[in-house]
Amino acid sequence: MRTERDQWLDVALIGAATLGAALAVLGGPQLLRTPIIGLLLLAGPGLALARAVGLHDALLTTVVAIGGSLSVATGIATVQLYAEAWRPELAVLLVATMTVGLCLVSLSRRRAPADEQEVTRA
Amino acid sequence: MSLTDSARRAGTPAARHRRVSRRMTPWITLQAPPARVVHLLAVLALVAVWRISLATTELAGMDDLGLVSVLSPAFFLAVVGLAASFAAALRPKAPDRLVLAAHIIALFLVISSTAPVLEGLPRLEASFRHIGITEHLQRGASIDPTIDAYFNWPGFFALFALVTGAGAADDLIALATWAPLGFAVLMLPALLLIGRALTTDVRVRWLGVALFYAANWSGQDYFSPQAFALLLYVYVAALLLSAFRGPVRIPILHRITDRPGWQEDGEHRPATGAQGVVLMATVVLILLTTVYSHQLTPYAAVFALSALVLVGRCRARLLPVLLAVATSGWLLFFALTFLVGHVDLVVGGVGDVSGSAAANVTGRLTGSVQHQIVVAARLLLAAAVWLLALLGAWTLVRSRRSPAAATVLGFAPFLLLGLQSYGGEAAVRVYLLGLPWVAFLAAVALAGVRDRALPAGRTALVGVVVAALALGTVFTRHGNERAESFTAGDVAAAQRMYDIAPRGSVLMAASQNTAWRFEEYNEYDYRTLVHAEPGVTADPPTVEELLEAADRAAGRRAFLLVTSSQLAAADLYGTVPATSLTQVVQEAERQGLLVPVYSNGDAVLFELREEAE
Repeated sequence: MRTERDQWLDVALIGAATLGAALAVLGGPQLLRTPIIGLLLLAGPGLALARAVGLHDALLTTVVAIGGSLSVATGIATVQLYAEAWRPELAVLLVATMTVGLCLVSLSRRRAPADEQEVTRA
Repeated sequence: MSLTDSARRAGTPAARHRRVSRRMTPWITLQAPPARVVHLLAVLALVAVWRISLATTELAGMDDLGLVSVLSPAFFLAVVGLAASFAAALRPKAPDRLVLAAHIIALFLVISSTAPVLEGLPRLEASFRHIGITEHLQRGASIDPTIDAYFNWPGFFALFALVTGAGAADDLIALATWAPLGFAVLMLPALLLIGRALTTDVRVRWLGVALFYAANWSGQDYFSPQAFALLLYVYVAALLLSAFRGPVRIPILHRITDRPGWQEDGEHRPATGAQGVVLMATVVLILLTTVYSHQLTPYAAVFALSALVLVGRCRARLLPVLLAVATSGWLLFFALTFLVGHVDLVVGGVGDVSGSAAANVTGRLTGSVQHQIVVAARLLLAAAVWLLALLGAWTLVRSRRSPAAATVLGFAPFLLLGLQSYGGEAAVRVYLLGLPWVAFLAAVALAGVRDRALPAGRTALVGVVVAALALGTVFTRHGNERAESFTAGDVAAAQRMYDIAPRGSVLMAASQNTAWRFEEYNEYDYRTLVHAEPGVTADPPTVEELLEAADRAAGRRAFLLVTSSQLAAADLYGTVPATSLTQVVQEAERQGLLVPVYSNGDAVLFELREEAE
């Protein structure tokens, strides 16, 4: 049961990241942009990373999620400015891609033990 | 558990008693509400009292004692009530964490949100400057390090340019207004992780967090690079203490830091394998972000992490070296423009501890008598917290627990005083950068090291200290409020100035305590008549100096903004009498050099005429 719930969290994170990227690139109501893009930049890639390596400690996960994500967003924005290639929507797209990629790693890691269990049962 | 086990358990007298108890629970709840509900209702009621007290507060009567001079008694009642309720919640051997969390959230809500609720605008002139830089970059401007120092460490501004540019926020002024609350919220998980890493005593963990918020009088949590860098630094330290602490046996030094019989307290969860690699990579990434986001914090981090390695409480021994190399590399390659123009500023104060201390302590005891009381209260508050922390370290030693990690992190920032005075602000940064660990040690001093409920006397002491610190923080944090806050009229006048002044004009302010530069950061020539700052005194300006500042020879239009906040700053810091500023303006107006083009109750905007009439 725990594995299934964890998988749903990864799927939800993938959905939020995709929606955030779409809102940044295509635009949308401010009511959606603020929470979705804001939370994606604040915690998206860090949370996905913590889940991808199997951190089960809520407090440690929160610190990695926020610290890692803020650093990633700051780094991308700073590189864009120095490179004179300022494209905020592209930066969000990059953050969302990282989040989705790490979530897929997390999903594949969780699926592997489940598959092994099914083989054992068979 | 098998079905047979379950059937056996269901039939035991104990199981029958549990079922009966569960059926009775609702009635018991109705007759005697659990302590959790009582505490949570008390917190809600006290927050309501706080909010209602602000609704009746009038800022107009504020004097040089700051916000406390206008706050109503209900405000103080709410703060004292919160402290007392928190102390009561902390008393049991196993306190309710939800209740403690509710108290701490209420505490930082009261401390961080009082000014935003009352004023509705960001505090401090620097906040408006930071908004302007963010807006400048958000429009796609390149990083030009010649503009000013901020453009040599642009990380924080780049992040918020991204936040606004991507559409996550559309009102930077509102974002900056509520930044203190945002930083307080984001700091909470790191503080809890630090507490967990340093002690297994739940009460000390939560009391340490409460003391951090209650004693954070520095007011550096505004919309600023230093607030962002401090957050990142605390996150790094929390990760290191939790996952990479050691202990590591350091030759010779371990005889001092690891005495026979001492034990390491706290929950240490060593990270190994892939998790260890990812956590260390995260630590490095966050540290590198501080390098290009703020000038001072990386140096403090080098000192603190080096000290942590030396006392054997950090397994990542090369981390301080990496950070030192990265910080120096950034200074030499990306901040070279700043370094070339400010070599004396960067290295001139190295080793001059007494000069730095003078600039940070005695040099700030100037200005009006009430302002000097505020400054003295800040010094007293800092000294009291540091003293409590030393008592806490001694308490740990006496109970044969190692105080090494918290002590070095709490006091290593003092080494910054040997680097430079940082414009008289180094002491504030020293206090702030060590506060998470100093607060933890102070919590040890107050709660003690014991495995039973807090005695009534200790509980009362905790309540009194939390209340005194929180009230002291409200007093000192907002002690300069007349000079650090702005009104809607101030902002409206500046906005009007941007509407009518062509780009390239000279924009002048009577003193730099002005809510301006929040847009068109680099499109105007900004000048001030008087630098009203703590510890700065100047001669009253003359009409000739006004004309000189306007740089008429360049043939540009020039505007002068005079606001009540500027005049308050000049008086409060004792730079020049405010009347000398109004006199020079009146004299220039009488000579026909200044023509008012806009005014409201708080500000007047003048334009300089081509020639006197």
